[in-house]
Amino acid sequence: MFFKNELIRGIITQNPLFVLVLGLCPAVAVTTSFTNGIGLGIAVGVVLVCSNTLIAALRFLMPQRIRSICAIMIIASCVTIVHFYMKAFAPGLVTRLGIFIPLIAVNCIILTRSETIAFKVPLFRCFIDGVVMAVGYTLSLGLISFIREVFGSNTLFGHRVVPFYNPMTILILAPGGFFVIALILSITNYIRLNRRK
Amino acid sequence: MNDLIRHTIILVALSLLAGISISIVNKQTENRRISQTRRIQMSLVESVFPRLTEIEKIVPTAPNRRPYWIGKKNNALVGYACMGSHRGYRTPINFIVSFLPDGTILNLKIVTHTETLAIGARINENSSPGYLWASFLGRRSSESLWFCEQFSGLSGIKPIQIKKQREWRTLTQTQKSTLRNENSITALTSATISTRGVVQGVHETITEFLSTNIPATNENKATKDTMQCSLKMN
Repeated sequence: MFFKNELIRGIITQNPLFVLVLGLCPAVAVTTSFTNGIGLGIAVGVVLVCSNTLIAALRFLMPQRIRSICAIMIIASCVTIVHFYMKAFAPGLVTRLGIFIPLIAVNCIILTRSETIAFKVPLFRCFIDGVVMAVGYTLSLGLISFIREVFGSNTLFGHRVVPFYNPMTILILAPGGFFVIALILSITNYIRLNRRK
Repeated sequence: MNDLIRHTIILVALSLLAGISISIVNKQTENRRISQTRRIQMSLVESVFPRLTEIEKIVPTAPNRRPYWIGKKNNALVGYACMGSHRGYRTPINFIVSFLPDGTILNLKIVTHTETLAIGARINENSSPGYLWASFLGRRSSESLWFCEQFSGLSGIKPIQIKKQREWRTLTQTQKSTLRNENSITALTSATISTRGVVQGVHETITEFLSTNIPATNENKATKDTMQCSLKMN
């Protein structure tokens, strides 16, 4: 029950992208194809879980005044390690994502979770929070990139999806990213407001 | 003062720990990263030569000379290939081109680029991607990168003309051969800068290569014997 509730929290009630509205920059920039979106989501997820857990484990050694520096150092190290592994096992994805992999180090979700969760709650809960937030973020990026790729270029995994469909090219350009995020945000907000009533 | 020393010790210890773990991972993945880079480079080189070509990499000892590849089939020269780069809309477009000693282009492949999606990025557009349902049924789709295909058979030494007309993929065979005879290609719609970037890059790469590595062919006097000599020299 605990895991189920936590998973619902990460995916729906506290979704990092559509509810907390964090990590929007890579969500607009790299979600032009489904593989890019899922790839970045997994990379961010791994960094989030590792950094959350490490910060929670080492927080008693970190004095209040330098804890942000320590957190950034841990996050940057995790990003570098993930980058090395991605270069070794998924070089094509690294080329496509480009600068957005090193930029994970300054991703708002990771910084926010380290400040609000990793320094405050116990180690196991930190780990679980990292996992559910990673799942929520990856699914959100997957949803955005799926919509943008299928409707914007009529392809998925490099294959054509629907015959005789003229794709809406604007969806794979930057404005299209904002349109799709705005559309999903408005739908989620509408559902949340209706539920409260 | 005590706090200052304590904070310094903690930061130094953390930096050391981070440095050690990064260097361990670096060492662990180093061989695989190098082999992946080599594999990608080799598959790119293979893709610009005809099948079953033996490929040899040459790294010139002279400074400022880029490495290149020689393709041979039954000890006869098939062509050369080298990497090139030219500025596109904002950032460089990297490509690999294979060509004959007289400068005739065999194949061109775009390696990396960051051109605007759906506009300049069409330099790498696949004009006939297979359907998703067909791939689930195990049918392999053929890759047709029409923009690069139109360079095959053109002369890289002579300036390549850019024609602003209907795109190559929509032309008939007769129109295509007319364009080839005029040493021309069709521009990408609303992406002239990207088109020009690739055209200039290919022309510069081939002329520079032929003038620095095979001086005789630059004057269009290359025979098979002189080619063999220059191969031995390299």
